[in-house]
Amino acid sequence: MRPDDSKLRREQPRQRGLEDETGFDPSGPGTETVTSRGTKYWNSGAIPLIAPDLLGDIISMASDLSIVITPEGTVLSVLVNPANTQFTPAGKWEGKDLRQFLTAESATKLDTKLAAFAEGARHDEMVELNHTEDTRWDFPIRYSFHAIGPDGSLLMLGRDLRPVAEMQQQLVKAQLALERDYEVQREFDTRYRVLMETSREALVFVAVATGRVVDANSAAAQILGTAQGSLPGTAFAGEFEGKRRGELLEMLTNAAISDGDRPLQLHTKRGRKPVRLMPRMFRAAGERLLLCRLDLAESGESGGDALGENLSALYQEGVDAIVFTDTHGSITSANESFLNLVDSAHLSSVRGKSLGTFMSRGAVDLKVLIDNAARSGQMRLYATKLSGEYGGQVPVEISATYLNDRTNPVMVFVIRDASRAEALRAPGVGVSDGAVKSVMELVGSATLKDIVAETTDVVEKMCIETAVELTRNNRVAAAEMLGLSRQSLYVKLRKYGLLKKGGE
Amino acid sequence: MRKDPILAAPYTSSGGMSAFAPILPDLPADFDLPAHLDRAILNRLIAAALHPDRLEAEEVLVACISEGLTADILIDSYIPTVARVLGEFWCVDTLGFAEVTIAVARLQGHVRILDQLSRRPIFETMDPPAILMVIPPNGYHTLGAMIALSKFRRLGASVRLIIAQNSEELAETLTERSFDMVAISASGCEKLELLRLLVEKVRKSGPNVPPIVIGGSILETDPEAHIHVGADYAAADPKEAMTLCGLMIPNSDANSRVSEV
Repeated sequence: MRPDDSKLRREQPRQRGLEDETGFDPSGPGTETVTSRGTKYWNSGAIPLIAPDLLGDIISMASDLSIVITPEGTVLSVLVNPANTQFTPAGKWEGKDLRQFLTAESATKLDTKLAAFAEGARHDEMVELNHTEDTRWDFPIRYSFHAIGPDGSLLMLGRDLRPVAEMQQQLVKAQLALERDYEVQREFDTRYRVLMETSREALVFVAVATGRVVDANSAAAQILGTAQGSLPGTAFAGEFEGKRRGELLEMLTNAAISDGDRPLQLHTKRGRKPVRLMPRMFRAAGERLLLCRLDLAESGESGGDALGENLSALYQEGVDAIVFTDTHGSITSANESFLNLVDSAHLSSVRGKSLGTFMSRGAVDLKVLIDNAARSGQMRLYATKLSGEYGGQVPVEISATYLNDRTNPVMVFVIRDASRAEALRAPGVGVSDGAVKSVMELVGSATLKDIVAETTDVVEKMCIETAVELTRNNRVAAAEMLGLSRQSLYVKLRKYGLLKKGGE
Repeated sequence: MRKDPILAAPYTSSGGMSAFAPILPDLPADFDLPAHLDRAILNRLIAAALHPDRLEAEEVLVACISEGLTADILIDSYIPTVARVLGEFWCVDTLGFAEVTIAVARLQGHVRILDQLSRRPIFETMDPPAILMVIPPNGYHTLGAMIALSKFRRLGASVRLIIAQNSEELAETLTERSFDMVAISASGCEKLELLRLLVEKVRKSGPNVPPIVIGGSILETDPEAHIHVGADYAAADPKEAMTLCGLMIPNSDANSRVSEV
């Protein structure tokens, strides 16, 4: 909309006044340029005098919406930035009270401002006013007020705040979305706290980086002899006797990565109670955390499952290696003795591997053990050798038990280091007392040579029969087990009349 | 002029006012400051609302609690007064509305911080009343609703909040869970027709519709809004709403704590 020049011309007398004082004639050709402040000297903030017809254009272009009002608030003129067509309806305001087009609180703000001007007070602050018309539209404008005429009329230079208002609405929407998320988080948080508080197990979350307690439930606080609220933020090592922070953390992380079921034995600082710690490690939001389950080590207090505890202790402390596998021989758990036999540092390095990989005859040994155990429930004293990670071999005797009374059947292998027993027997083949006795009875009825030859044949036949039975008539496996070539085994089978046994 | 250290923050107001000047003394002289509120504490809370750093706010709130103020008085009296002061600052053009909006958003965060500082044990000895609180779509002034939500929880109620959701979610929530009351928080910016439709949707959600209560600043301009939109009651505050619906108030003592759920 074009500015109303007649209204703006009201400023002309004032300009003429300046002209009189300075001798400046804006219409005169070739005259010196004089600043808007009426001096010939230019300084910061000065602009040349502007002809009134240009001034309206400049104002309408420089602001988004400009209004000239009387001291009482009646609109004299409205200047709309031509680039901003949405404000065009404001042209109808001329001759009307500006308050009609303001929200109630903005009308009050305008009154305050007009009153201040009437009192001659200088007001440099911008004023934000919300325009509205019959709720059909509304928009916020930030105005600066300028007294422009001797009659007290005011020029309001307005900047469109709708982009800011739009941002505000976006902000509020984003905040509402956040509130929704907080509500969801609140539900999860409640469930987490209910779980922590109802759990009879004592649970403590420890940050690996700092060694400090992140959270602990009341059961944990009770065992550690402190108030639940005082645990978070404290050094976990400080809750136990004689453990420095680094030392405890190392123990916990080692235990966590080696075997989650293997407890650490510690004593609490308060009350000196023996406790067992079972740590598991996980990451949350990039932070490594330990979830430590605690229980009192006293068997009397733990509910009387003495057998379970004893078996657990046997597994952990026993001299014989105990290995649990699935039905295919893949290791699920193994005790320290087994790790020692195969030179492994952690359970994690053997878990998931086939037990056969540690046996000298590999898959053959494993198949014999598993097949026989699966068939009859158990297999006793199977002799073979275990290979360590560094190539060393240890002679062992293995018994296998098949536990089938559960959803996921397992194989249990008890492995005994036989190197000492073998040293005692070597180099001969183990002979039972009964067999020795029956051989003794031959003395006198046959020569020594015959007795030895006969006995050798008997022992050889027994061994071959056993190998054939163990391998379920798998000639290749039996030959390998006996250290014979397939041809030699075949010859001996024929010699002892064992060929038919396998149906050949 | 006294310099408040909390105010020494790198923000500027739209009016070009110095960030280092105390703000409260510039309040209009006729500002009605409730007698039971401490001017110095109010000053600190206003500064915290205008401070961009949330940690500052947490420190101020924790300090207030440790000085003996309860979460109840902070949430129910101080924070609404701070919001009024901020509105007043807009009226006198000390602050722009963008700054006021951001400060009010922070106040909403302060309500949550205070709720967390006053959490009650999770297990109840009795079954708390269940309330569905609805903030209608296009409701842009949510601080009041959040204060009411916090109050319901501090009174011991278990509250499910639905914010500006579609009607399907509202209907689903009403059929899946059972509530003792539906509280609609209306700021007065919403169109009455929209609120009427909302109430109608709640009524059509099933055979056993709990009582519907309208609350919020809408009642300042329309004290009979509940009649106009078809709700059962209008209540000035959450406690009155629960009483009107005949609900037991588990924590009627002054120092109530926030219910977990």
